[in-house]
Amino acid sequence: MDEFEKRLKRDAQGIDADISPQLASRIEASLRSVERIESLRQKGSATSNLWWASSLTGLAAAAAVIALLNWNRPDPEPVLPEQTAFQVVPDAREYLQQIQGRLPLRAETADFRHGLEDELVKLQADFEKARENVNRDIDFTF
Amino acid sequence: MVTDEQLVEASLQGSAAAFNEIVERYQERLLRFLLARSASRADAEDAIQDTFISAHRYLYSFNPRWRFSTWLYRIALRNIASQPQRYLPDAEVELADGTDPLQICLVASDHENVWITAKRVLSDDAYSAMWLRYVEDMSVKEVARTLNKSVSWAKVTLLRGRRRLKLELADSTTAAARSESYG
Repeated sequence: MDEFEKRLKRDAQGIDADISPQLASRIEASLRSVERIESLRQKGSATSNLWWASSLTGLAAAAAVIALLNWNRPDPEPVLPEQTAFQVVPDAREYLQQIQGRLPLRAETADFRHGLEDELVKLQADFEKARENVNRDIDFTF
Repeated sequence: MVTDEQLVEASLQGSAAAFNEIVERYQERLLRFLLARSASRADAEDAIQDTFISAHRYLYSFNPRWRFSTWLYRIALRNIASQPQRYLPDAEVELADGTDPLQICLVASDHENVWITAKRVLSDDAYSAMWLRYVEDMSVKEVARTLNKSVSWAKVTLLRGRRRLKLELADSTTAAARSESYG
């Protein structure tokens, strides 16, 4: 350390920096208040942590109870709404089997020949009537 | 002797006495340093109070890789800089005679205090660098870190500051000798 550096140090000590009792008590009081605030904050955060921990524990317990209750329960049958609609109308074959013995079924031989002959006669009559109408119209025209 | 770092460790464990010891160790040193950078002694005292409050609150963030004084002075400088309405760094505002807190706090001496000269001829940052290096015995790296500057800036500033101060002191010595010979 040279002379210049010694002088810098010595002159720095020549600056009067006595701490007044007022300043000392101010610093002490402010530090004490900071400590109090910090401890209150820590307490607050501890309470908050406790609240979170209890909430999470409660949720976990509830989930465990629900899981235990549902462990061995069989799966419910799937309900198909369409099947319910079909059940309203009974199966036709079953219905016929049910009523077979109760209602007398009479079967008759169908005879369709008369019908066709009648149709043919009517057709011939219509044809004859049409021919007469045409002849009459020709007479009127010429 | 218990080191600063050990006191910090004890404070973090919850010892109020350990932090009080830190306050005891640093309050006068900080006041001496801050008097030159404040507009009044009251401002310097406010800055010291704020510095200790901040240090106490953020003690957990202190990195033991660095010296504790580095960290504390950095907080002090930040606090003094956060008083813009009262303290004007590098401002061209001349303090009225007898109101300079550094001038007021000088112990009577037969020569001008070199720090008064330093305050007059050096910038605020150069003054702080000189103080931290030669009064607080910080390394150049620590000075740079405290002032949030590069190491090369600190080296150049210290060299120039030293040269300027020596020149100024030599001039004043010559002037005094001349006036004595004429007188």
